[in-house]
Amino acid sequence: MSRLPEFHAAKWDEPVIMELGRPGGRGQIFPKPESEIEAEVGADLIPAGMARKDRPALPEITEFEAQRHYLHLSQMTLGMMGVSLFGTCTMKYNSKTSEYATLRPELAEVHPYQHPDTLQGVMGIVHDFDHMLRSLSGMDQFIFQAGGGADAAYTMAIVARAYWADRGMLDQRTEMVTSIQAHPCNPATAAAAGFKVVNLPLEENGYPSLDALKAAVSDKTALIMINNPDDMGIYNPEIKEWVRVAKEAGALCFYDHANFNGVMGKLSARELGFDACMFMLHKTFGAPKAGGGPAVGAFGCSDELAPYLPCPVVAKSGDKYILDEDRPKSAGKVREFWGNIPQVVKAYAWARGMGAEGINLASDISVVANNYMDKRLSEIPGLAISNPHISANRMEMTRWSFAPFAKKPASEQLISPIAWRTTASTPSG
Amino acid sequence: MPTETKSHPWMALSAPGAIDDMLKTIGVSKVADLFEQIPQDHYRKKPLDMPPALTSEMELRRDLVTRLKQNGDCESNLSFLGAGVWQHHVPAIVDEIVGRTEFATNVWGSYQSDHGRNQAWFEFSSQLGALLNLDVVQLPVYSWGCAIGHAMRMAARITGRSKVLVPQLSDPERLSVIKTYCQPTEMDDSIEVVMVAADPATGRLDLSDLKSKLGSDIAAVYFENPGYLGTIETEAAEIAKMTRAAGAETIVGVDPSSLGVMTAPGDYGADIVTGPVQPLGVHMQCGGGAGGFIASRDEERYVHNYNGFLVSIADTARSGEFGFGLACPHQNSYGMREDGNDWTGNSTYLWAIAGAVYMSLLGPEGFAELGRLIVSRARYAARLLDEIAGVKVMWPDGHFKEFVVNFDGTGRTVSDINDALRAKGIFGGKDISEEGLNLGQSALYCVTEVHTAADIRRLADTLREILA
Repeated sequence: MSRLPEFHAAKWDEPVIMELGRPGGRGQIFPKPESEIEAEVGADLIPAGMARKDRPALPEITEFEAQRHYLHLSQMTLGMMGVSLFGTCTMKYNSKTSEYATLRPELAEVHPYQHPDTLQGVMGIVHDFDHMLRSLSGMDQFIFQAGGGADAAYTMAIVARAYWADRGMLDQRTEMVTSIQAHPCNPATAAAAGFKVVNLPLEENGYPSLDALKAAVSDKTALIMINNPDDMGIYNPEIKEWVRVAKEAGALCFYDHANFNGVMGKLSARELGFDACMFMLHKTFGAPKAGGGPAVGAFGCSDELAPYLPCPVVAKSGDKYILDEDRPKSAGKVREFWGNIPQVVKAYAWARGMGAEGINLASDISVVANNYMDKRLSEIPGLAISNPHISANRMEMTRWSFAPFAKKPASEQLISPIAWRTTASTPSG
Repeated sequence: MPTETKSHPWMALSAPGAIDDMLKTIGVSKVADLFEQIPQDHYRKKPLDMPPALTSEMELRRDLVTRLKQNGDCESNLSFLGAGVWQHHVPAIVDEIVGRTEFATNVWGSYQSDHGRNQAWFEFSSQLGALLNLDVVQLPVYSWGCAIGHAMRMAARITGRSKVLVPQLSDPERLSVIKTYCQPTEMDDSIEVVMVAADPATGRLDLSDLKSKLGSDIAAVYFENPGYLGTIETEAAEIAKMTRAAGAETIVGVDPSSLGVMTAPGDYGADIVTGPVQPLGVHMQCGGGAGGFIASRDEERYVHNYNGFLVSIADTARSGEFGFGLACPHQNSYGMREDGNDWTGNSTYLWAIAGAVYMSLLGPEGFAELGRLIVSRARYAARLLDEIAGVKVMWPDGHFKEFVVNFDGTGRTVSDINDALRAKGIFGGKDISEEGLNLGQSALYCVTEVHTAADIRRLADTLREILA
């Protein structure tokens, strides 16, 4: 069977919401305040100077119209609960069981400032999931405050800032080293945190050379940020040496685990020498990406960096879970509260559903499937793998070039949607 | 021998034989051959320590539900907690739409494939712009605090100055995020955060203190309306005027649930406006519902300084047709890495869709009703609590949905009182007595449209009983 299935989103001739409805249309009605309230407080409770006089130019539509309109918009979206071949995002099937669980009021209608005694369920899940990530990475403590992979990279930057400030060396350790292949969030967050960015170029083998790294790191280097496999799917076999060189120069080493999918269960960031790492729960751990969040960048680090973590940290004291806010060396918060907790619960559910064996198998399958896809794509005339001279297997992702197609007449530029989606760049982090 | 796998419900290619078929096509004999790039000494030595797998959905569901049921929630208890996450009514249609697989997807689609999502995002920005009376609204960032941080950095880029003024009575949670974004002073391009005193009689910004601190080194003045402690900033236009005269930007934080009854910030001179998206149809989710918006007038100085995604509408090549796409897409970190405006990443865009649906359902009348209901119920609660012996409501007539209740006259601590309330199924206001605000034993109470008159009387009666 060699039929190429076609798919495309529904196309409605859907007006913009502002064009719908008519004056007086209502999609939601709130009750009037009870009579005893009106009698007690009266009307006109907003001071005259601050009372709104105009009517906001919002649509006036019925509930039915709102539902139909937004259903149409969802149907005009190819987002799906199935296969995505987008590069670094490593999206995977998201189970409906975890969705169901997080919609329950025991989580949806929970306030982060409730007394910890009333949050034992969710804190227990956070605590246990922290321990699963510790096992997967070798790190000593995880937090979930970061709202995405980029926010986790930012967390690393501010933790590094606090670490060097605590040693009185922030004016000396001013540089961050990464590769030109790294996701933009690595250099951008380090720059936003005040570090000067050094980007290493790629060499012939698909990753920067050790010599380039040695030339870049010095006693000015505050931290290095690396992903591996990188965004071309190539694993840098010299990574241990990289970490050794960076640490010899005194730098902190951050493993951006955006591409963990291909190696999960097989590597430990800590055993490779890293001080900290991050996992994207909204991708690697089976929580939905949701068109760009709510996401979670789980940030884990060694005991040495733990004092600088943003608060709160969920901990266990005797039989009870507690929120540890008493961390005087904390770098400060990157975001309010503890994080996108439903996504953490979904990631916990995924990890529980998979177990150690399932996680290992998922990594096997992703690497096999990636190479299978590469093989099949290579059979399409005119489609070329990027950097064809590199013989290494592309793990978990690949880049392909459409350059040969571009030279063909437009009528012959028929590209399978699968091939297109494989190579298109994607916002990530 | 085929590679041994045990089929897992979540992985299509886990069915027996699937891996072998692919290996055959690839032309290698075993899975390990594909990992040849990883040196042997890189493989982990310590075995994974994970709890046993719950591959049966039935078992997994039981585990999740059993654990979550150990929480107390704000539906089965009566809660008066706010301070950054608030209990509001979420219309059922909002849950229906954000739960749609196409939106709550595992996929990041392309702009070409996700025309509907782009339109929903555009409609979020447009409707929120109508509430704010501003024309540019960026897709939301991680939280309100993050939005303020980005806005301050925008102001610093625009003015070339490096000091911001912030109210003394600020939420410590948001303030911590703001300080993170503004950096410690050791860094070259740090922004100094300077506090402006509050008028003790009103809780509002002390304008004389503000005036004394406004100089040619100030990039921005930030204030909230309503403020952290619920107070309405009646001199907002005057603050904006003073700020502009000093050549600084006025950054305002607003609660969108107030904008049916309170003046839009675009009408009193705000330059950059931030706020939370959670009140726009997102459940609290233990703080997981957080998200923050940033908005401004449609002027180049602002538009070219946004850090994230701006969704715009434009005519297509076909007459009468329009489409949606990103405006100024290359100015953020995706386009320019470390040279872009600040940085961005996955954020909270699903909440933009929730917000779009929510705002469309309410319309102008819904927002007016909502605002009137909240302010009436909150004011009623403040009156009832103020009547209790030893209990004093600070600034009783100048707040929107939150207000400060002081318990100094009872001789009891907030912590103690909240424990007693909790034993009776009530979550009292947030304890702010340790927040350095000099307000004694005080709690920040939040009353919204979900609280009925009977709920409020139950709170007052229970407090009276506890304090007797």
